[in-house]
Amino acid sequence: MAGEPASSSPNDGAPSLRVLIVEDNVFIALDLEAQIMDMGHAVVGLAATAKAAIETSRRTRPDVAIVDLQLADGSRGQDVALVLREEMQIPSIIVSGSLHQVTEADMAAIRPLAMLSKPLFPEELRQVFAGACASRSAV
Amino acid sequence: MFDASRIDPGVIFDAAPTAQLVFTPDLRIVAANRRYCTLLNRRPEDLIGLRVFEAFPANPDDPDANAEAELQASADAVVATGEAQEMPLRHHDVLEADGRYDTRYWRILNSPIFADPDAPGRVTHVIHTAEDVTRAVLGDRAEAAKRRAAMRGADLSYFELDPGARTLVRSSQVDALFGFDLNEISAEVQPFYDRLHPDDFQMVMTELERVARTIGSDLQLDFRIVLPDGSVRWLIGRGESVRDPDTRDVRIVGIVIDVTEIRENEANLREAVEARDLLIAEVNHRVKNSLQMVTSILNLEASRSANPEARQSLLAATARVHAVSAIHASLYEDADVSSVQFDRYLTRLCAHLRNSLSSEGRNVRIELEAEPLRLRTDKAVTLSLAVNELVTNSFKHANWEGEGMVRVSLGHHGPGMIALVVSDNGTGADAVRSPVTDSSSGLGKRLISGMASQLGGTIEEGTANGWRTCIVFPE
Repeated sequence: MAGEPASSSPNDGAPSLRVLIVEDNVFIALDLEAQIMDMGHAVVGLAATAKAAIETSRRTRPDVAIVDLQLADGSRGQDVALVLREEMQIPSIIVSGSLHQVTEADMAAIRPLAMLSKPLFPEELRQVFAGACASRSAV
Repeated sequence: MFDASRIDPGVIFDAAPTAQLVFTPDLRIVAANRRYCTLLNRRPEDLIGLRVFEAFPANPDDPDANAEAELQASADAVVATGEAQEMPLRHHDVLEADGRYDTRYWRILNSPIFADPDAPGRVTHVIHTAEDVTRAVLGDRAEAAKRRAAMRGADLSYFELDPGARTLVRSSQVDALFGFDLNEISAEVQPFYDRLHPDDFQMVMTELERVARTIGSDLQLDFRIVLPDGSVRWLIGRGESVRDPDTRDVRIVGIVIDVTEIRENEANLREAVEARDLLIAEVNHRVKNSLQMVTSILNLEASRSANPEARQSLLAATARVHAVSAIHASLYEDADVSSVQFDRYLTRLCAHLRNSLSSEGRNVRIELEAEPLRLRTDKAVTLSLAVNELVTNSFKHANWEGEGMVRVSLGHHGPGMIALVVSDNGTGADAVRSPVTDSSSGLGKRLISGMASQLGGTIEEGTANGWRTCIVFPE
């Protein structure tokens, strides 16, 4: 993997988060992992299917998940985000080239932290995480 | 001396406003008044003494001409009853002086004259009052003929529905439309009702009732029928309700047209458009994913590279790919897939550039001033790369004292032209800009001039309170 987790967070004392990456393209997954670790957060796992994502979540209980919509084996990111939200109260950040696939009903049930369109500017992900940290400290 | 208290009855006869002919019961003409002579274009001496049909022979080209027998029958009835007889509307053509027959229609009243003082109850003559109704009759017939011709010409299915009697008078096309053979069914409307699609039956009945309730209201039917072979046809019916002038019954008259093929074409087109939209969405998804993969690979390579120069080159390449990629992320945000709301995109790009370039050590503001503007996608890609290069150059080469600022502005610049201006406050007007030595910046300069020409525009560089580049290109 891409080196040791950063020992000090660049977010000026804000807590670092434990993140699950649900993405079936290995390059994109590794890049997301590198960016998240660069921000000072920890990555608890990479999952390429809905099944793997849900199992990993139950085992590792991440603080937040980055979820792609179209996953390997034809499973759907929406289903992952819904189980994470309803069963484990884990929020998701949806990242996809087809955000229009998420229906109003999906949105209401999943309540994603953010919907980011691929291709991502790294900065956009950084801002979402900064917001997630801030709201977490506030709780 | 004229005595107005006495008048010759013959003068009254001549002055009567109706055409009158007097003949004996065996149809021999005794008198004809002036109005009659004018109407038939004869003089009294041409008529008197002749029998009626010697004076007005039947048209040999009209095989149905049996006027003589009818007139004789009417005269006989007058003699027998001593009462006036009205004859049914008659067609009797009149021989003109030039030998042609003129088509005439007549309304005839035959009344008795009792002229024999010795036998006051005996009819001695018949006074025959003739009204020429040719114009009215031919006018009606001409209208009807025109309607029939129009219907035949348009191959229309014409109908007249009598909702009270539940009968349907219609052209043969209506029977064919509903899948009936010619003469297979009578005037009853029920067989037609029986072929209405079950889901449309109530709607059709409601509409017919509505139209029948208000005379003159428009019929608007859009319905399906089921033929005996089970196939479904789409029909539309248009017409209106009228009151029959004779019977006072309400009729609904109109046409029906088969629009099944139009409906099927519509459905096919809708499916084709949906399939196309699906395909575009899929291609779009793949393009975005592939671009994300490319930027991810470049990100990974750059973050792992130990060589600072190689790392710098990779970061510059990554920034360029980001600029192109972000355009695709902006695509398909709305219904227009061939252009991009460029001002909105620039906001994203500038936020990204500020953060990614500032992290290299300096805190610099980017001021963006962009007119709301849509650009074609190919232009937008080129322009986004230009913005990326110019802003990156400013960050690299400006010598900032105090707060650094890069200004990006985009807007119309004269008719049909758009100007992109990127300027910074990095050096004084007379200061010398840091020499451009590294290969990445050299490429940047070449890219900018290449992109300006790709946009069909001109490039203008200068130093005002810093470095300023302006690209003007056609819309």
